[in-house]
Amino acid sequence: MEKEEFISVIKNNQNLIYKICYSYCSDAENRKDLQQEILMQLWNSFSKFDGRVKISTWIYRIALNTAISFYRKDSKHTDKKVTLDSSIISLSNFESDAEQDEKIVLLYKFIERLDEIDKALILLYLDDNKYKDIADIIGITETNVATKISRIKKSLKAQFNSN
Amino acid sequence: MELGDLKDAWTQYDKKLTENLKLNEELFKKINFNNCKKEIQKPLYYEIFSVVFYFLILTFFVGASIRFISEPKLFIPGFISAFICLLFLIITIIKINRFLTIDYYGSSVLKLQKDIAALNKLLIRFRKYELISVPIVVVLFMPLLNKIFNNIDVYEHVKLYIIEIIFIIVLTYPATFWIYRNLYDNKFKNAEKLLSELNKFEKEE
Repeated sequence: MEKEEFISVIKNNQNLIYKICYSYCSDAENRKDLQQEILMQLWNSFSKFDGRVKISTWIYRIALNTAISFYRKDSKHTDKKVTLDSSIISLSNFESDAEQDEKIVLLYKFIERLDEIDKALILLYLDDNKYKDIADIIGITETNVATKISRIKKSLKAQFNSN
Repeated sequence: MELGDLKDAWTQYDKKLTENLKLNEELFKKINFNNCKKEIQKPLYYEIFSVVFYFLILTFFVGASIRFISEPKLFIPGFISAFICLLFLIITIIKINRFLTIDYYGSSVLKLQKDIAALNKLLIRFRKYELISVPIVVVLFMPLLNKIFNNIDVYEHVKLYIIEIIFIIVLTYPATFWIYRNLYDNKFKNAEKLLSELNKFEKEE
């Protein structure tokens, strides 16, 4: 029963996991591993989720922390249990459209250049989270969130204008 | 291009993802979730194993030292070895406590990353002390080992003792230096760098 409930939660929030994996791993193989690792971490903490925070906040925290740790790991692929043939969460039929979508491709390119925490900030901002929620997920003050997002936006604007 | 356009594009992209993302349930079930926890807690299990190991060694050292309590030349090095071993045991318990107090699933991104970096620094620093201390403990405990297992008093065969000491030092310290430099030094520097970056990130407004 718990597993069914977990699958349902993942299904409802798979966008978020997909975007985080895409932002932290440009390599498709590593992306599969990161997806698997995020799902493992979410499963491990699923029984502890008590509803005090929104489910999306809980997923963002765990997924972003896992992605940052994965990104920083010296050696990858060392502790996974199963080598997966394909991605657990994948696009059914619009991947080619996405690649054609210049703005999204450029956005991902821009995100790729940011450091780990800035990546998290811009993802949360683009996903329309309130500054209060971003502050809660990242662990900084709302003022700090506003300052940092404004700085990232300036840089984003400059890079898009130069393209 | 305006930022508003980008955000709109992202919103549209999110909608498309909602319509087109598929969870491969078959593959999902292939992940052995029962083993997840074991995999994630491997470093913790290693430390728990270390506690058992140090406890057994400590018991042996204490027992052997007490046996020669009337012979200071054997009791004192045995006592020092036992004391160093006790320190290892305490340090390992501290490490386990740090492992258990980190809130992996309820902390904010910055707090968890800082906690992990600090824990890594602590683990590597303690590993350095362990690596340096092991040959010292072996050298110190050698007279007792020789007495217990071979009934030889190394203080009456000083040449043999010196040869053993030289052998241990020549064999272990270059290896210790190599292990630390190649396995731990960079990890320590990375953890330290990350910690200072995170602190800077938190402070700058």
